[in-house]
Amino acid sequence: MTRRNDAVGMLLADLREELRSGPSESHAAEHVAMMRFEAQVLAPAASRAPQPTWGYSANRAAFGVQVRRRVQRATSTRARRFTALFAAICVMSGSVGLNAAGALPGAVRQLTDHITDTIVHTFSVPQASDPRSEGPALRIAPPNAIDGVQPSGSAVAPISAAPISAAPDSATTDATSTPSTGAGVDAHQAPPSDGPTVTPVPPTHPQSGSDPPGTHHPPKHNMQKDPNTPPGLPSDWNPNAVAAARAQLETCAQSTDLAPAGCPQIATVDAGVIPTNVQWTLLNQPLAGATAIARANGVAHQAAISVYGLFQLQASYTIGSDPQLHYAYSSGIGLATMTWDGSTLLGVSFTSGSVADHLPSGVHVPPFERPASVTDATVVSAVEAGFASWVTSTGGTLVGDPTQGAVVSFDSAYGTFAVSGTYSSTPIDGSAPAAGHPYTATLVANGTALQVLSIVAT
Amino acid sequence: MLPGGRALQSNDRLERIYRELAPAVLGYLRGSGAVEPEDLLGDVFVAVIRGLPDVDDDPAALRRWVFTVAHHRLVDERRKAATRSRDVTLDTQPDPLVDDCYDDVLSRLSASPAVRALASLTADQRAVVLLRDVADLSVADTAAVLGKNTGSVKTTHRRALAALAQRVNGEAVR
Repeated sequence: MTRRNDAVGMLLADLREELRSGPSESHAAEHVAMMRFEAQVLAPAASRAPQPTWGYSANRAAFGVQVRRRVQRATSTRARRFTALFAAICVMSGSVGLNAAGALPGAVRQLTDHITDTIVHTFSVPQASDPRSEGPALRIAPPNAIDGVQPSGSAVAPISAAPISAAPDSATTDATSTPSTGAGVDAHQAPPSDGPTVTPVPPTHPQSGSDPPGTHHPPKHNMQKDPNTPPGLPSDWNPNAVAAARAQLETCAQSTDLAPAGCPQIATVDAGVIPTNVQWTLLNQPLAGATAIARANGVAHQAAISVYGLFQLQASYTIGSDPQLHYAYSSGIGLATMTWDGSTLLGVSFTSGSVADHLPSGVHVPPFERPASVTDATVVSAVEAGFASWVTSTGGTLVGDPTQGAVVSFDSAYGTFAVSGTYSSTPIDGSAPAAGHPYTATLVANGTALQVLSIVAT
Repeated sequence: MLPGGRALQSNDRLERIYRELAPAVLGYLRGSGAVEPEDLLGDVFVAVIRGLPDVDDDPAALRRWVFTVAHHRLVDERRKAATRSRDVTLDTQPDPLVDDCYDDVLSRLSASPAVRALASLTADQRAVVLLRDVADLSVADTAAVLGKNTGSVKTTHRRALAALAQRVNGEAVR
């Protein structure tokens, strides 16, 4: 029995030693500061530093103390706090209603306006009329509707002679192989100057420091905190994370590399070819339908955040001293990762290429939607113009209409149109026409026009 | 000797109270499986200051009060965590921070035999052991903190120690 008690005693001593290690010094200092502040707030008026007493009678001071005590009493329990809050909201609603109806005299109206502004500010409800209000954390760019698709002409890309006159160019990342590996479609010697014109509205960062002087940010832990908010994160972590990812995507679009590190876009060129003058352009709505996930990363107050969303980027580049522009396209589901360090989002970085094939279960990113205004006829016309450009640039001759019987499809995984058909052409050297070769054309709608990315003999 | 009551308004005394009681309270919170015990500890002491009863020159009363607040905050946290873990839908991997399963929390905290033994107790037994043997509260104070009578606390404590002894012997045999 004694041995048993000794064993339990040792166990309890171990338990005591393990559990009773005090808080870290930083935590202790923080807690003591919080306690002091709380004690200061609750200290009776008499113990505080003397205040100026211009016209402040003893009766009024006593009344102030009484009111303060009543307020403390009224908010001493949770039920009472809720009741007080509910009463305040009722009073405010009533006064605002009367105010809106113009039934209150000017002075009272001014007072209710002030109360409304204060409550709005305190609870961070965005109000356009309140200059102190933060407003929405994220402004979404208006949808880039395709309302002016040009079926032919300058908006349609001239196409490469190489892929169409011979077997598929092994150096070209063609439309049929690229999507399965996740990223880009290159279109050599593709469209002229009519590049995409849609530029997404830059996201606004709530904590960017651009607030006017005197702006007060509401407390992070307010009553609006979403119950779904993971511990340690502010309630607006989700839109902020998406905005940070979008900002990083815009930075990626400034890259002069065809496969920049920390960015989702990838484009490939022939071995030994050094692209120059690379310019990436974001198409349509970057990170449309983005989904953010937060996980604890094992460090107190920190979290690892992943943002999944759609991206579409097009690149133009030249090779060597040849001024001929080449084009590349990269799209799919981008994955941005970042760390919440307790106050800011750090280390925003994208995984290279599309992660469409590696989405964690439960994460759903809506696929690319076919623009409603782009009809099959429009797509076919663009391909037709592409063939015409090829004829112009190479001097070859097409036999018949290559778009006759062509089939148009939309790849919702990569946001591209595919046109499959057959063509017959007479080579420049006058040899016998090559008849009935299948081809696949890949196009992308960039918001204002259809771009032919490639036409590849298959 | 803990100063109490209105004397708390002195900054030095506030700090002394914190330094003296924080390790025991933190131990209780850790042992009870609090998700972020350090953060909860801060909340507890702020709440203590906010609702301090008139306990002039009664350190035991102050100690009892602090642990009562800690116990209530712990219960609140468990309730919130239980609700939150059902609402989070986007996480594909369970977020350990919102998982209020006591065993999981303790397994993350430590794999020491003492903590494993504690995990084998029932929730009531665990609370009593933590308050009696880790926080050094008397039977009466433990009863006050947990809202039980002293007889119930004694019985629970005795059963908890017996369970621990059985576990220790079992491990020794193995």
